[in-house]
Amino acid sequence: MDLNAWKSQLRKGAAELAVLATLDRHESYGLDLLDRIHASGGLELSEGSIYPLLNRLQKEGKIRGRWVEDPEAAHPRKYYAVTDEGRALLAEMLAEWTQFEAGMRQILGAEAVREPR
Amino acid sequence: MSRAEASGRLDAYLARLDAALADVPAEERRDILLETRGHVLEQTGRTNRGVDAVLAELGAPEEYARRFRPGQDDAEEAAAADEPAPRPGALHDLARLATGGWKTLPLLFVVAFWYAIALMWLCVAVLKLLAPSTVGYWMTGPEGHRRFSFIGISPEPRPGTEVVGYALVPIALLLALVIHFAVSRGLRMLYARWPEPGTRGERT
Repeated sequence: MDLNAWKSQLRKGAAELAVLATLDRHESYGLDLLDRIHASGGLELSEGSIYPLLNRLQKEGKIRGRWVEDPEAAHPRKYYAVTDEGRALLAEMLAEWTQFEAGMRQILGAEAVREPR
Repeated sequence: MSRAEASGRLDAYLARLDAALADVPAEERRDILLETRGHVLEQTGRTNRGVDAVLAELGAPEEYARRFRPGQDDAEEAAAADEPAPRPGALHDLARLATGGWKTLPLLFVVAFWYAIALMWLCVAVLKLLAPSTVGYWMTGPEGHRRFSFIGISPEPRPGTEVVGYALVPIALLLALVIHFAVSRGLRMLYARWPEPGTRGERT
């Protein structure tokens, strides 16, 4: 397995959590959401993957979209917000994530804190 | 690129995306198209990237449309990640036989023999087209008491009558193909039970 394949697998699971967590804090439209996630620097999400992901989460009832005519934009924007169902999922995912992170730290031990040479 | 040209590119992309999403419910499709349109307009407006560059980021419309299918994206990527190494072809198997030392020698002869037979049938098919009178299935004897006399390639005229004619071409081709596939298949089955050193457990 090469590094890029592994990175894409790693990102895959994290993307949903990142989207739900970001939308939970700010109702956003696609590009705005992408900016917020990229601004954190931790996760790269491609422009081609964010909309299909939003589409799926909406169909699953985890987020809700509404069209807004922003005065600053010449076209309508679709703003997404987390639904109650999505918020419940987010809480579960966060718990899993925390546990996973702690577990991985344990497994990696000194490796994780060692400075790269 | 002029503004009209850029808008034309975007419209063409959206039209293809629309067609590729034909089986998606109308309202959802409209949302996807509107959202894609807004994204491209906004992204080209705020960055210096042209329409083509922003569209390229999304991928070909048909490919992009596929990512909206439930489970499609995940299934595909998982499949791509788990894809086995391409199976080497029959030639590779033959090369293994040829370089396998004395243990594989008898098998090499058998396989080479059958490949030669397949090749012969191929020659029969080609020759029947090039020199019809020298290739065929001849029979002697009077009507009703025919006896087989000769089948194949004969440089000299054969006694008796040739009975198959040009039907020999597809028959010979079919025989060549059947033998080829049978031998290749046999080799594969053999190798499935007798893996090449170093290939087993290579993908973990």
